[in-house]
Amino acid sequence: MHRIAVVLLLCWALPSAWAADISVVGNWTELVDQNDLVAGAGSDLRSPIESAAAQATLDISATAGGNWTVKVSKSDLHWPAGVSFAVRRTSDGSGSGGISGGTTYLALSGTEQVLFSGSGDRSGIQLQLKTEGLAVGAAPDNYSTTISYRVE
Amino acid sequence: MDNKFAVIKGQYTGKMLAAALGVALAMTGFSAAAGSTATQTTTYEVQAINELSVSGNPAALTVSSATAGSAPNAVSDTSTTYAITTNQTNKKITAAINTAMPSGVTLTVSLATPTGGTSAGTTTLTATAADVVTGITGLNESSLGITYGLSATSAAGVVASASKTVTFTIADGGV
Repeated sequence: MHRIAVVLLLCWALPSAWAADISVVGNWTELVDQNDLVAGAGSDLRSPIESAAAQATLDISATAGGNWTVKVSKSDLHWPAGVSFAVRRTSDGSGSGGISGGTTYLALSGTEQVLFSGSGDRSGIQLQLKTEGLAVGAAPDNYSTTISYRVE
Repeated sequence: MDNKFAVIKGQYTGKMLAAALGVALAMTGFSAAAGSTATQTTTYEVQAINELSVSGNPAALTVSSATAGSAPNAVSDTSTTYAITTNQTNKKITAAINTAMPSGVTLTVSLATPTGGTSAGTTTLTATAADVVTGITGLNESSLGITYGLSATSAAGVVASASKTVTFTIADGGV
């Protein structure tokens, strides 16, 4: 009876701790041309290049009021060497619970890193993206990277 | 009897544990797979960039002296520079003047070599574009020297002052 009670307790606790849902709206497409040169002919591309402050919006739901952490990583589809990519949180969003961390740029890699954490359902968490190191050495092309946000 | 009952009770408890745990894992597993990760794609389109500029106009070039027995002395100007940015490969700079020079008068130009490129050296300017730098790939450099030269033969005689527009163009090709 005692063991059954433990299992039932797990049944109750696990979904609320792990089942949080996350969604993101807003991709970032940037056109880089001669207007992005720092000072015209003879100069290089400006760096960093930042997106709008509210380029993307994250919603976190189904938290049952529990604590959660958002981790982020990127997977380059076709990305120029030496060019970094970073993301930061520019708003707290709204909802129950709280949110902390992630307000300074976090340089992304293929390894998951903690972006920010919080508790309870929150919506409208705004994100800003930034790239650094893009130079005229990068040939004309389309460069893409996929950013993955995971809540746990 | 007590022992047998105890065994049955234990088996029954084990099945319940397994069933309950299965339900628990199914619930948590389903929820995590359904929405614990969200992705977005960031795309840059880097367009072809080919920018070229010059620092200004050179001083007037005047041929006005000669050594007895020789052709008039050529003159030159090195007061101007150019700047270039390109993110493409194997580009070249061509130069041309808007109208032909008078007979016996020659205007030349020489551009300093940007990193990795090849300067054609002193090149006579005509109304037809001529390559002055070739093999330019993915660079941004400035303050690269331009040298203009003007020479005239004795047979050219006295030529009235005139202005020429020199057009530099970044074009495909080279080397």
